[in-house]
Formats: sequence, C-alpha cells, structure tokens
Amino acid sequence: MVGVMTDKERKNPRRATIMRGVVTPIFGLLAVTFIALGLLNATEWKPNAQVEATAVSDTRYTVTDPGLLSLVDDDVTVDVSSSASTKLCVVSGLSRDIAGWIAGHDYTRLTGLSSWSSISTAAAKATGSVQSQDGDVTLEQSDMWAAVTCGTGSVSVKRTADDNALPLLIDTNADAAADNNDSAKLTVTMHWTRSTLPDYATPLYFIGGMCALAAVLSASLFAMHPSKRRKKGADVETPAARVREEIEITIPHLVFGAVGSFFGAIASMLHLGGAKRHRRHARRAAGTTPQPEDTRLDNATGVAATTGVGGVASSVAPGPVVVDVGARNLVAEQAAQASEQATDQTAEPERTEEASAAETTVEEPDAAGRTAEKRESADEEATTVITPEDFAAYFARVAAEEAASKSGADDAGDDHANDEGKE
Amino acid sequence: MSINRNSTRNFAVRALAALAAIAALGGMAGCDGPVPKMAASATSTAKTPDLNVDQEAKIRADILDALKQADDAKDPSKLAEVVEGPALAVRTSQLTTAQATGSITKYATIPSDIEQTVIPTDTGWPRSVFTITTTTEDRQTQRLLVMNQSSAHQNYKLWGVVRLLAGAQLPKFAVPKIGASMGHADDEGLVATPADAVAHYADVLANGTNSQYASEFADDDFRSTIATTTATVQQGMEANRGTQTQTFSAEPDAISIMRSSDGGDLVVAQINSEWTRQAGEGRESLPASADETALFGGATATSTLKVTYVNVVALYVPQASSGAKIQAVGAERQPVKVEAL
Repeated sequence: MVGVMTDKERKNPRRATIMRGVVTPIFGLLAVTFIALGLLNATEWKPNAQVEATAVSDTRYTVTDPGLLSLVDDDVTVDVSSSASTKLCVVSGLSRDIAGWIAGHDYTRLTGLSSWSSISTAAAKATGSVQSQDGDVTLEQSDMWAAVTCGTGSVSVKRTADDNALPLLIDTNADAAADNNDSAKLTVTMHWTRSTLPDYATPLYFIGGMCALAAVLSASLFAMHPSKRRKKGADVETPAARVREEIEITIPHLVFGAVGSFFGAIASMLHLGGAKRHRRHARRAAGTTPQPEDTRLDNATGVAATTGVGGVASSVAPGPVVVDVGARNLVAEQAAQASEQATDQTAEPERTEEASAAETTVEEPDAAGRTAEKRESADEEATTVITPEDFAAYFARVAAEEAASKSGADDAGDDHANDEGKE
Repeated sequence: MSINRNSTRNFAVRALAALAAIAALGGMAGCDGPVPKMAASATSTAKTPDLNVDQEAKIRADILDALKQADDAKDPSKLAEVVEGPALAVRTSQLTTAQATGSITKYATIPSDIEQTVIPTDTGWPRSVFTITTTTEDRQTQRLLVMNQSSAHQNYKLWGVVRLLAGAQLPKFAVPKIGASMGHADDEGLVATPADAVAHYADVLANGTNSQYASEFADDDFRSTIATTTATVQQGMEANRGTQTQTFSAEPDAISIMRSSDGGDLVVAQINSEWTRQAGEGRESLPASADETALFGGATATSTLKVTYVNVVALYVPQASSGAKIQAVGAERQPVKVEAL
C-alpha cells in the first residue's frame, strides 16, 4: 500500500513541505528582521534630532541667505567664533540693509546645507562702492538691525520663529571703518533641534506585518493544493473523490494524458468502445454491473491505473463486483506494479492499442488523471445490490482463500485470477 | 532527487533574496533623511517696511534723549549727532535764543508719545520716516517729525519738525506693518510735482493773493499769519517812511516726501526767507521780536536789518484727478540769523 501511494503522497506533501519548511521560515525570518529593523529605527538608529552644521569663512563679512536659519527648524542657535581679537558682531537685518552695509565688500554667503553637518558657502561681492563719511556709525551702533550681538572671539545668538526670517550679518572686525577689509578666519556653527523626525520605523513595522501574514498564509492556505482549496462542494465528500482530488498534475500526467486523449478520441471516433460502453451502462442499470479489474485497481490505487495496470488487465468478467480487501495481495501487486512502472513509458502506446482492440471500457485518463468511468464506478460500489449468489460465491471464496493463505501468501495472485474465473 | 535539487535551489534563491533585502535595509538604517533644500524663491520680492515700530520708537527715543541733553545744556553743538537739515537750523536757533532768554521756547517741545508713524518700504538711501506725535501737554498741536537716514552707515537723524496747523487734516497712510512708499520730488499725476508745489508755495508766501499760484493752494493759517504780520509791519514802516521786503525761496533738495494711501504726497520742505527792513529818516532798524533780539545779540544796529528765517512747511499735494487744492497742513518758522546791513 505504501509503495503504491508513494507518488501521490510525495507530491502533495511536497507542496506542503516546501511551503511549510522553506517559504514559511523565510517569510517568518523576514518578518522578524523587518520588525527588528523597525525597532532599531525607532530607538537605536533613530535619526538624530540634534543637527549641528558648520561653515568656515575667511572674509570680513559673512551673510546667511534668507531662509537658512529656518531651514531645519524654527529655533536655531548660531555659534560664531573668530580667530581675530577684534570685535565680532552678529546682527539680524533686512537683506537690503545688509547689502547696503557691506556694499563694495567681498563677503561669504552661507547658502544652505550641503550635508547634515556642513553649511555650504559661496563667495560673493556686494554691489555698490565703499563709502566712508563723517558720522558713520559702527555695525553695533546702527539703527537698522533688528538684533545686535557683539563680543570678542566668539558670539552665540538664538533665533526663533519670530525673527529667523531675517538673515544674519557677521562682521569679524566690527569696530573698523566701512572701507576696512581686514578679515579673520570665522567658524559658524548652527544648531537645530528637529521637531519632526522622519519615521522609518512604521513602514518597516508594516512590511514586517505583511511578512508575518505571508508566513501564516504560506503555512496554512498556500500549503494546500489549489484544487482542494477551491472545491468545497459535495463532490469532494466521498473518500474516493477526495483521493482523486489529491492527484497532482505532473508533467508525465500531462504528456500521457494528452497522448491518451488523442488515442481515446480516435477510438471513440471509430466507435470501437462506444457500443460496449453503452452496453455496460445498460447492464449497470439492470443491477448486474460488471466491474473490470483494472477499474477496481484504479479506485484503490489511483495513479496506478494510469501507469499500466489497467492496460495489462484486459480480461473483463461480467457479473457483480465484490471488492474483497482481504483477497488482495498487496505485496505482489506492488512488485508487479514496480516492474511495470519501469517499462511504463515504452509500453504505453501498445497498451492503449491493446485496450482499444480488446474493447475494454478503460478510458485513458484525462489531463487530471481521472476518468469518467472511474467516477461512475465509485458510485456503483456504494449502490451495488448484492445478490444471494454473490454472497454464496463470496463465502465459498473466503473458505477457499482461508485454505490457500495457509499454503502461501504468494498464491494470492492466483486466487485473484480464480475469483474472476468463478464469475 | 530532482525534488530535493529544486527545493535546494529554491531555498538558495530565496535566501539570497532575503539577504539582499536585509542588506538594502541595513543601508537604510540610521539614515537621517534627506538634507532640506533652500527654497528657490529665497530672495523674496515682497516689500517689507524698512523698520518695525520698535525700531522706530528706539530711534526716536534716542533722538529725543539727545535733544533733551542739548536742551538742558542749552548747547546747540550737541545737536549735530542726531539732528540735521532744517531741524538743525531751527533747533540751533531756538537753543541760542534760550541762552539769552533763559528758557527754551514752548514751540520746541516734542511729545514723546505718537499718534502714528509712517515707515517706508523703499530700498536704498536716503530714507525717511514720518512720525506724528500727540498734542503737547500745554495743548499745542501735534508735531510732524521727519527722520532721515542718508546712507547705510549713517543713523536716522531728525531732519524736520513741523507743528501741525490747527484743524489741519492729514492724509491717511499705510500702517507701519505694511509700510508706505516714499515719494519723489518729481512725482507726476499730482496737482503739481512736490518740488513745484514747494516753489509755488514760496511764491504765495511772498506775494499772497497776488501770486499767480494763489489759486493752487487752499487757505491756511500759516500763510494768513505771515500776511497779517507783513501787513502790520508795512503799516509801521509806512509811518516811518521805511521799507520792507520779504523774499521766500525753496531750499534746493531739502525736501522729504511720503505717499499717502490715496496716492497724494505729503511733502515736507524747507523754504528760506529773508526779511529786510529799512528804517526811514535816519533811524536804526531794530530787531522786532525776542527771538530776533536774542539772535541779534550785541551787534550794532544800522538803518537796515536783515532777518533770515527758516520755514519748514508740510504740504499735502493731492492727486490731479481729485480736484482738490494743495493744502498746507503744518509749518514752522524760526529766525536763524539777524544781521545789520
């Protein structure tokens, strides 16, 4: 029995094995990985809220572009340090006022962020000309600035949403006259605290969840045969039907099925089996349904019927069918089948011819490895009327087999033949 | 066998894919996100006022502080840091008079509270800020202050102070948050260009109703007061067989203009005048007022006295389409020099 079922059993579980043994763990692993990455992104790898960007310039004046101060966040702290010991001033003013103040000077523009840690700079020259006149005030004294912070060496200023729209002008030599161009090395560092951080964790959690779902599905739903998943109707209820459902399509099935269909079609066109089949149907209706040996085997072994047994067992005996499990010598059948399977491929065409010539009712299997005949026979078995003669024959045979089984298990094959002979 | 091989290959492929995916994720891990880019329209063309009201208040407070120090010391030399233009001439004269009289004239008072300030949005220099104060404690009319910044490296200075004429109606101006626009001496579309309006007003001051421009101007107290004074002096002169001549001329480029909400220009300008009085019949011509006396000091009087005045006038020049006349809304008149010829 085990040997006969091997092919079928192997194929079904193979799907389940791959799904449960390979795909599910992979999805599971991915789910765990994604969720772990999500957790890491939410904690350890969380984007740093503290942004610190630096720029270095070497001109007397340094000016931030409008919008730089609020580029990362509204609140910014600007630390400025100068290598010179002259007065260092940081002022907030309108762009046009700054441009007017530094007219004619080379200056350094702070143009944006080139990375999270550095401020991009650009060299520029303010239009206009340097005009120095009596009554000029220093940068610190000028009325124009909204805010002025001065110091020596280093200065730190804070800007908030209220006043970060105004650019900063940094003068490393704030007490010097307007036409002075002495410069010093200036380092500008801007600190922001990002209030809205990019969220990488949630998408990873989502992907992880999807992977977990996929793992569960591949362990359950996708591990089942598609047809099994699909069919839930009454057709699947009988054990025999269920067995047939489990037959999986293989390439040999497709090849042999196609070839078989071809020859079957030729046979039916020639009306070789048609008459016989009709006769059989008539008999079945009368209650004396003959059950060809091959078909019986088919029912029990499924695939075996497609691989040659049916073809070989060409003798058709009329009369009621009695399925006697005890009468089957499974070991012998297995051995026979194994040898036949080996010669399967080459035997196939002849067999079909034989079958056609012998006018058996064996239909070559269709693409799904099932035949209409077999389905019908399954119904027959459940509804066969057992006549008193049948019973008598059965008991007689049981008695004979009792005796025969004592003489040796190998004789079962003969018994089998005898059974048919009796009928 | 083939099954095993297949599943092995399958597994290998999937494992590789998984590893690749994990490696890709690893690259993503710890990323700080894209660096924010500067907005393309960073250089906004939107007009913003040159100053906010706090800056204006600070500038004005600094100026008034300096004025108070100069007033207290009665020292005109302290004015130059914060005062310029006609205001400097007027204030210097007032302080010089104060040195003689002992106290500064009540007309020099500038209230520290304001009714309104008009801040322009103009770029470039010079820039002007117009501020209208409250009435003084002794119920004098409001002062119109004009503060100018001549260049980027200069601070705002008090350029002109005008006492509003009683009952004068000032035009409306844009609020400081929005900012007004400065006018120009050659603005078109008005009843007259601001420069012309000032020149014509000087002619009207000199010639009264006989001026060819008299019809351009609505009546105002300043003009009528000068006319009355001139008429009174004329009577006295005629009794003494003396003569008097008074000339008015607009000071070139001493003009500040602010555009009002309805498109007209409020013009503040300096008009210089010289009043020459010649006594008849060999008499000496003497200063006619306390101010003139103080300015004249101990100089030797002759038959001819020339008094130089600085007049600062505020004229509202409406749009030509309005059909209105030019209206003087404020004025200041101060003798700055008295000399015997």
